[in-house]
Amino acid sequence: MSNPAPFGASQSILAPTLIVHSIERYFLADIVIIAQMSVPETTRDLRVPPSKRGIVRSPIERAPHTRTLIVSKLGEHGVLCRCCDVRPEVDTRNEATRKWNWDVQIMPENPARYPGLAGADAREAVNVAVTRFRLTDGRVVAAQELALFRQRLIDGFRAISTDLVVHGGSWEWDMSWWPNAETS
Amino acid sequence: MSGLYALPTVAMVLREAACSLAVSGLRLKSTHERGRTPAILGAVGSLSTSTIWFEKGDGPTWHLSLGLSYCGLRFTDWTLQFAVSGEVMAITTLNALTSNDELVNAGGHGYIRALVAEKLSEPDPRPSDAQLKASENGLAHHDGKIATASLAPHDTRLSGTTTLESDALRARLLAIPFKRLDSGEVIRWQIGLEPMSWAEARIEDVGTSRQINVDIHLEHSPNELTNAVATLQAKAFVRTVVGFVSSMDDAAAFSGAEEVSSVAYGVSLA
Repeated sequence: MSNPAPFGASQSILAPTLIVHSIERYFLADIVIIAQMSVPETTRDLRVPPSKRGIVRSPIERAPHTRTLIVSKLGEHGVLCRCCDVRPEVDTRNEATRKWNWDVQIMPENPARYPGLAGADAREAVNVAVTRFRLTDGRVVAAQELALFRQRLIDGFRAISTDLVVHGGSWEWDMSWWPNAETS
Repeated sequence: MSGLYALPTVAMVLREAACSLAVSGLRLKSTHERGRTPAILGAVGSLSTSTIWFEKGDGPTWHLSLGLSYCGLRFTDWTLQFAVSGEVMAITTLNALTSNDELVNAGGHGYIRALVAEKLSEPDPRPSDAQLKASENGLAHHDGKIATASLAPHDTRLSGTTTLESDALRARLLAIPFKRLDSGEVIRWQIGLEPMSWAEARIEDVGTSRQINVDIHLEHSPNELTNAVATLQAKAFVRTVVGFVSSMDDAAAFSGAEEVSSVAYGVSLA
């Protein structure tokens, strides 16, 4: 059967992106961490399970949560970035990482796997894949954070790779996507 | 199902299925009733908008789940597992919740199965606009408040001393993954989303050492997001300069820009 290229098939923020570049692999984690740190944390009050006092449970309450990006290593050079809604000082790291909105895996790829996209002399490639996401009310949850992270990631690659080629997915940023940001 | 496409295409079809269901117009609701007890006490008999979870598993396996996301917990009505082995895909239903011997939210379950089968039987499956629509809907919805304290406007200086040769130091600085505005004797980078905030570095010989001065300028914007991103990127920039130089010279010493370095990022966990 044919093998249509998945990159470029959709311009959504969920679609994978193939980045063909000339950067040494050990820079990958730095680029991801800078992109992670560029996405502001946000706060919102979310419901929390009622606490149990003796045999009586308290009513359902809301508690402040912080939406944050958590980065971890994936294999030798891969990086995982996870967007979570976390209760500061209350959640453990395990609890925090279970409260995910999306995961993005940034994995080095052999450019030879994509001859139609990477070119014969391509040195390095990276596959940016959204491997987990949540949908509710017809929308991607934490979409702004995902779009901004993707744009900052590409920006990092673009800053130091002179022959950068990007295939697939949405990696632009539009200020109107963060509509509450105007302060004056 | 057999005669499958490459795995990225399978992933595309499954993303498509999840998003198509989400934007299908089916009013998917999940009940708080779980067996004889409600998912969370105090929510008896109520319905909430369903959540769809897309998860790539280890190896060529994916899970699409539908259910209730409540109080930070997940209560699934069903999970569809798609496992590819060679040219065969096995579709299995896991974690099925039934009511009166019927699968809860069976409509969504059937919708996904039918769409995946249809897409994978096409000679050249392409996504519809469902992914785009779900993305656009998400980007049009925002409910949080920015938590990052903004420093803009602000001017500060990071100074360092290193024994690295000028050329090596300069090469290291040019490898910093921030957009460069000027690569002359003074190297200037953009900090944040707009070029009005910047950092610039000067290298000077001082005896047998090199002195590096990095001036950081954060311009105030009426846009809170612009200020927050600039502040966070300034912190990331300082961290990167110190890290990049120190990785080649253990004895490199830096001072200054403490107020930028101390900007909080990352939640403190229990």
